[in-house]
Amino acid sequence: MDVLTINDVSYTYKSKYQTVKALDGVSYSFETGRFYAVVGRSGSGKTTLLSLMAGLDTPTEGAVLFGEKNTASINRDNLRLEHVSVIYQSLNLFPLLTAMENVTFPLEYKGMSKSRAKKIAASKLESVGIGKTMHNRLPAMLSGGEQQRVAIARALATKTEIILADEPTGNLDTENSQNIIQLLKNLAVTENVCVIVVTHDMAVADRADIVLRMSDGKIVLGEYGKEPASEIKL
Amino acid sequence: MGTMFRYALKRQLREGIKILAVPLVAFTLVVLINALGGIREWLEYEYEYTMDNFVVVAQLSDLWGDVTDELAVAQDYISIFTDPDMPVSLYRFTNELMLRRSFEVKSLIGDIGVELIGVTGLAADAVLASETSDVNFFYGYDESLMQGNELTAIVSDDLLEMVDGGRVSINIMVNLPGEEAKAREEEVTVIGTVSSDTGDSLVYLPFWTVSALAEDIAEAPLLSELLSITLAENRELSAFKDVASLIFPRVMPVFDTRPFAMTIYDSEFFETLEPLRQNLILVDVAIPFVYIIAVGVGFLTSVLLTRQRKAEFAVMRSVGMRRGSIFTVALGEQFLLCIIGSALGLAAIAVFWGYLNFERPLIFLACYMLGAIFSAARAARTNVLLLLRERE
Ligand SMILES: Nc1ncnc2c1ncn2[C@@H]1O[C@H](COP(=O)(O)OP(=O)(O)OP(=O)(O)O)[C@@H](O)[C@H]1O
Ligand SMILES: [Mg+2]
Repeated sequence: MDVLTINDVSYTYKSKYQTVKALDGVSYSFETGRFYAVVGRSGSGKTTLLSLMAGLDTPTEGAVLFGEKNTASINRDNLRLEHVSVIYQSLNLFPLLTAMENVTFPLEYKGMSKSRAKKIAASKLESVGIGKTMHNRLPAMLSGGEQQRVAIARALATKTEIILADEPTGNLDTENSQNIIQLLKNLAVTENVCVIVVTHDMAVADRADIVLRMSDGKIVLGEYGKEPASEIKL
Repeated sequence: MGTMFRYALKRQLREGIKILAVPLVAFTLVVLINALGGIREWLEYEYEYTMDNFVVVAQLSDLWGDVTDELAVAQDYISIFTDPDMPVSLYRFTNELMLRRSFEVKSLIGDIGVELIGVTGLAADAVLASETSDVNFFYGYDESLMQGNELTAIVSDDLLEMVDGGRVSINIMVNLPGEEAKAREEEVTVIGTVSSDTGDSLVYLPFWTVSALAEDIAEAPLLSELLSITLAENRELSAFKDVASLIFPRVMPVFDTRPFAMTIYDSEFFETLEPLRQNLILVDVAIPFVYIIAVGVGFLTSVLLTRQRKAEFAVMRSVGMRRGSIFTVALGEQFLLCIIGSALGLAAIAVFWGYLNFERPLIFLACYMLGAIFSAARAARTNVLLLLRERE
């Protein structure tokens, strides 16, 4: 099922002195239960694409459709609150809230009761491998991998259909990185979530169901899956 | 909303020393503003007190300050004054006789028993003053105030309440030496009142009386170096001066047969009043200035705090918090911290000075929040994309 469709999307950054066309007529449909990797040279427009899909902005041209709905005409804050989780390389967590609070906050913000939010958060933290002893730690007291897990637990707890991750393993060592990717990959299957990961790491891309390669604001190669992704030339 | 603020509070409490920044600023400024407010109220009190209680005396004299015995007395005049031993005494003078006779007042308006303080036709002059040492025997009273051709009286407050149109009928017994005592009824105009609840009698003369008297004096052929007028209302001083300057021109011909002058002794009054007035102006300028500072400080502190927390606002944005919510939280936190500091400042001033004023701290709070709004709006507009690029 297509959960997210980008339809001939272009995006231009405008500053006083110049304009940069970051995306140039990109089209693609993402399905639930799949694990996508987006690769491409630095500056090719990966982050831009991801943020449009997250509803942080709307395309200059074309449309991003969540289901049937154009993100340009819906409440995009609500889109992130209910349907799309975003995970970055770092800075995903509130630095002065504990691991537990970081997960419960969006739940309670949505109106869930305190106790229920806590229960859900505990089970999701558990499922990403964050034990009870770490629940009350502030992010600074967690390793980079643990922080990313907390962010994933939050995405899981909010039950979003789409998880967008921009180099989520960028700060992690290989082992940690593999664990996180495995976690995301499992999610796609078990929770029927659409996971889209932007990465520079070909080892990561190799685990994806589908690899998209971006160049100069375009998706130049889609549906890759036959050869190892590491063979793709960036 | 409650959730947001509960979490905001949690995170604030983990800020460590930084949490003190806003309350400390608010505390200091509230103490400052209330100290200024207290000073202002004290100055105002002193100013009003001076206005109400300072005795400004205007004195009439001849230009040379000469003895006034030699001055001509043009017509009859009568003065009646109370006396501790002699309840009411009446003095009568004529320019021919210059005689002093004493009368006894038997009753006043039936038998109400209210003391009549003074009745006079035309003011006494120096002759009277020199002959009777007790002319000014009660505080603030000067018989020469009561000049005019009709009989006038200063009566007690209670008596004034009972009479109509400021006119009193009195029965007086006239005892002239070598004559039989004669009863006489006189109608007099009340020109002032006296109250004597403090033991001292305080005479109150309305301004119109004083100015009317001043005009009478100017027209009267009688002069006195002793005539002095006490202003009941210092706020009317300049109006009084205007009237006085009409009647007593500054420059008098040297050989005028009736040269007289009025001196208004108000320099000490103004020496007391002027610094108070200037300080009041100063404080009145300083207070709005502190409010402006409050706007600036509110702006600055909140910008600094918000800048530090950019990443947090970005997380808020990316988990889907609405801009309105972020704005409310950012502003609400400032508000809470500011109100805590303000309350402490208020309490400190109340404890150490015993001074409590809510209005100024509230204005301060409003000003501070005005400054803080800008950064809260910026927090709400946090651009996640830009921030990510900055961090990369
Ligand atoms: N805020 C911005 N203002 C102007 N230009 C921008 C802005 N953000 C990105 N760009 C430009 O848009 C293009 C695409 O940027 P984007 O961040 O999407 O690339 P990316 O593929 O994520 O790169 P990287 O792998 O380095 O993260 C680049 O040329 C970049 O310089
Ligand atoms: Mg990027």
